[in-house]
This record gives sequence, C-alpha cells and structure tokens, in this order.
Amino acid sequence: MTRERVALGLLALVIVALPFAVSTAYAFNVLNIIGLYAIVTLGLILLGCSGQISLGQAAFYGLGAYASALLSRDLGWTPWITIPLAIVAVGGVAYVVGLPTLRLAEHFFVLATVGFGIIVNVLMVQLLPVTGGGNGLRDIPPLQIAGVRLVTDRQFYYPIWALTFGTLILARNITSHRTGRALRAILSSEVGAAALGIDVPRYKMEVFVLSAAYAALAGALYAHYIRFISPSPFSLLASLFFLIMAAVGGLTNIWGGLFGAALVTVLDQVIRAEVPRVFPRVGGEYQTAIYGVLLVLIMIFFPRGIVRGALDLRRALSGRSPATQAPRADAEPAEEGRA
Amino acid sequence: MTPILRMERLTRRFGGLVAVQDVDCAVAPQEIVAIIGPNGAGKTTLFNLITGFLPPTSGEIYYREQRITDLPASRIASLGVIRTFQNLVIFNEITVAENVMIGCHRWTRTGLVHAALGLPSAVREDRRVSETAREALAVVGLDKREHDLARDLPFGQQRLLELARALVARPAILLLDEPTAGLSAGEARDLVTLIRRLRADGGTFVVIEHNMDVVMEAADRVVVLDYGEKIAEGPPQAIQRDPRVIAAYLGDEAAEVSVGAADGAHRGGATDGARPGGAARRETQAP
Repeated sequence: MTRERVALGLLALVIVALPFAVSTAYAFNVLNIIGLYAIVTLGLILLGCSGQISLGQAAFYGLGAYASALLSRDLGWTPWITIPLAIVAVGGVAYVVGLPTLRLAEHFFVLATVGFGIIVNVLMVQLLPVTGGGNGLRDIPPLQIAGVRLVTDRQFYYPIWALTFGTLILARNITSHRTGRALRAILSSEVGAAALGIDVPRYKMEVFVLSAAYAALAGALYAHYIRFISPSPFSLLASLFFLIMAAVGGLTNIWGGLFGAALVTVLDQVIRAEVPRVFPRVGGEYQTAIYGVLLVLIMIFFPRGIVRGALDLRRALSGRSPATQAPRADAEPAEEGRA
Repeated sequence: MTPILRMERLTRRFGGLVAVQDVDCAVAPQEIVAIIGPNGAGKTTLFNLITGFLPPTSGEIYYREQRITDLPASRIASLGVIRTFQNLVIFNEITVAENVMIGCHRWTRTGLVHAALGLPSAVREDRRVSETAREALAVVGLDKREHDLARDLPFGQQRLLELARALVARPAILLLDEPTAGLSAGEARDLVTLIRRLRADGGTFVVIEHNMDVVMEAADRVVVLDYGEKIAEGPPQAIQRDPRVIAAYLGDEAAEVSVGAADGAHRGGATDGARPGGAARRETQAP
C-alpha cells in the first residue's frame, strides 16, 4: 500500500518534470499519444481483471472521438461538455453491446467485439453525411483553458497526463476494494464467485462499460488534440494494438498498462521509422504482421505480461522455482494493487 | 416456526436418469441436518438445486417461505444461503486472506464509484473486512498462512479456508458438502465442535457427510437419500437402526458383486453410464 503510494508520487513527479527534459514537438507528440493509449489500455486491463478480452476497443475509442468532435463542431458546444457527453454515450453503446455479448463464453465474446469493431469502422467510412467518410472530419475545436486555446503538442501534455494519472488512480482504487476483490474472484472461478453472492454478469457489465468509457475519454481527447479524425486510426489494427499494450503490461496489472502503452508506442515509432528504411518496398501490411507475431510471442512466453515474465524468468535463472517463490506475494510489485 | 429452507417435491432429471426425485424436506432455524447416502445418491445434486447452480426439473424451493426456485445462484447466495463444494472452489491465485475477504461480499456495500474515488467509507469497510477475515482464519487455525497464496495450501487446509470464507459471509443457512473429507480426525472433531458452537449462536446447517462419527455427533436430524429419493429421515440413532437405511447401504455392497443386474433392476433400466460419477459411486464406506 505505502510502497504503491510512493510509486504514484514518483510517477506524478516524472509527469510534472518531463516537459523540462524534452523540447521537440515530436517528443511531446509521442508522450501525449502514450498518455492517450495508456488510458485505453487501463480500460482494457480493468476488463482483463474480470477475465475478459476485447478486440473492439478502437471502436469505443473512435466513437468517443467522433461523438465529441461532432457535438463540439456542429453544435458549437465546448469540448469540456462534449467530452463527458461522449463518454456517457459510448458507455451506453457498450451497455447495449454487452447485453447480448457478455453472455457468450470467453473466446466468443472476443469474436463479438471484433465484429462490433468492424461494424463501427465500416459505419465511419460509409456514413458520409455524418462522418465525412474516408476524408474524415476537419476543424474540430481545440480545448480551451482560461481562454487559452490548446493547439500545440506541448500545451496538451499536462491535460492529457493529468487525466492519464487520474484514470490510473481510479483503476487502482477500483481494483483494491470490494469491486476489485469481486473481479479477482470472477477471474479465478465464476462458480466460486456466484456461490458467495457475487453477481457475475453485473460485474462483467460494469467493467465492460467502464473500459469503453476509458477508451471514449481517450478518443475524445485525441479528437480535440489532433483536431482531425478519419476512420483509419480506429480500425481493427488499432484494437489489436491496444490489446498488445495490455498484454505486454500483463492484462490484469494496472501499472503494466502504463508500461505496455509506453513500450509499444515507442516500439511502433521505431518500426515506422526503421522498417521502410530497411525494406523500402514493403506495404503498410507489415505492421499487422509484426503486431500479430508480437502478440503470439507474448501470449506464449509472457502470459502474465513482460514485467512479471521477466521477474519469473530471473527467478528461474537464479535456480529457484517460481512455485516456491510465489507465496511471498509482497515480493512482487504487481501484487501491491491487491493490498 | 417457519422453516428456513423448504423443498417441495424437488426433482432433477439428467436425460433418462433421475438424480433427485420428489424430495420433500424442511430445515428449521438453528437445526443441523445431515444428508447421507451412497455416492451418486443425489446429495450434491440436491445442493446444486438449492443453491441455484442447477435448475430443478420440477418442484419448488423456498427460503424463509420466499420462493427461490428460479433465482440465479448469486442471488440465492446473497439472500444468505451459502455453500461449500465437495471438490473445493478456491481462488487459487490470490492470498488466503483475500479469499476470505471475498466471502464478505454479501454484507458489504462499496460499489464501483465509491471504490474508484477511494472514499473513506470504502477504506473503512475494507478495514472491517480484513479484520473479519483475520478472525475467521484464526477460528479455523489458518491465521499463520494468511499471506500465502491459496493454491499453496494442502488440501485439508484449503477445505478449512473454504469454510472460513463461507463463515464470513454470515450465512443464514450454511450447506457444507463433505466438510471433513481431507481433514485429520482431530480437525474433524474441531469442526464438529465449531459447527455446534455456531449453531448455538444462531447458525443453521445442512451437511453432506460420509463420516458417520461426525453425523452421529453433530446432526439433530439425518436425511437419507438413495437413488435420488429420500428413503428415511429422523434422529441419528433411529436412522442407524432403520432397516431401509441398512438395506440401502448393504444392498449396494451386494450390488457391487453383481453390478449390472442389481443396478438395472433398482433403477428401472437407467443406464449406468448416464449417472454422474457412475463408475466410482459405490466406493463409499458403509456406516
């Protein structure tokens, strides 16, 4: 508990101090994107805490972006109103999607989220009068704080990271009280959870709606930050991308979400810069291939995330079996959220 | 006095097999009822029906005269009908203490929003929950292992853990499925003492039990099931002498000698394979 407080304090310090260490707009852009993706990933990890996986998160992310962009641009409402509205609306969509799909067994639920993601993406492309189709939406109003329009990457850094930090705290709190215990019970045994009075479908719905709300918040912020949106960043590939971040972080580990988002975003930047240089003639599809392989590798070798995986690996190499180590729960940083 | 739990012509079929047939039974407050019968007699199926993990084919179940027949399992548990499992359902990957804390779910209230904001009420409730868990672990003698992962406990201790988790749920009626299996003789005796003490404090118990010493010592009343039907019911001493009960157990041993014929005759032609756990069901020791 206290050690996690220290970690939170350190994180806050790093967030506040980083702008003094970086200067380029590119660096700020990468940091901002990491912050946004971390919010989406945290939502996925909350969902993962109930044992569920979604491959439709980019759809919620995109719906949040389109909803807030349209409301603020066409109705002239301030983004400070349209962002919460977008979050609530997307939460409602998730509720409706969840009603039939959450009853499905695990892998069928994943398939249902894939289908949902594809449908939403097709609508973004095809609903020309509303979404502008493939050309996207332009002239989305920026956020304003105290009369100052936030238009540069640097200006957006603090608002984004304040919200990232806030959503991290929320997620941490949720997983460390009664709701979190109920989720861990569900993850471990739905029968055991139900036998103790835990309403399994309700909790699954709660985290599903919450994960969509997280994605919508990030999407809405993205819209007012980039101020131009088109369907392509909200495709199935993006959903896969988010899932990889969550998987790298360890699917049920709140801190891992932040780590996964940072690592995969940086990796993505490197891939984008380096692959065309090495293989000048490859098309855009290489990305999908790389992420697909990455996801498979993580799931095979690090099913509990890279951080946990590395810890386990170190233990194995130092000649002590993880099984005899496991009881010392307080030796593992990730266990702290459970204290 | 109104019964705390009442079953009315409760029946469950699996295909052609009748696992529980026309069982009428009522449990009064502060009663300890033991359910006995050969393996495969339908005892665990009866528990599954009462707790909503299996829908009955026909018949009704009432909790304090409220019909609970079609309620989902979690709803029935939240009313106060708590059970343990014969094969143990332990949350393996989390600590012993947290396993028990989850048991407090029924009477705690912190919801998503309160938790998310880390409100003082949530923190207070957590403190109460962890104190309750620690006390319950002390009662079953697991307080030294609260920080261990549940999966690292030996079988007997996992059973005690499951019991502690059920107790902190503050059950109005507790259904224990073979609670002494895997326990030492001493632990089993402690368990009987604990159950009797909790009954004195207002607890009500239904216990599936094979250990006849435990049954004789703990139960006020014994219900005997055989092939899904209630064949006898009464105080333990009377049940021990009941010719139908003796026949059910001894008849089973006879059946072991000539399995096919005896089984077929007894069950009116249901096939052996259709019976859950059919092959192993006659391994139980006779009383």
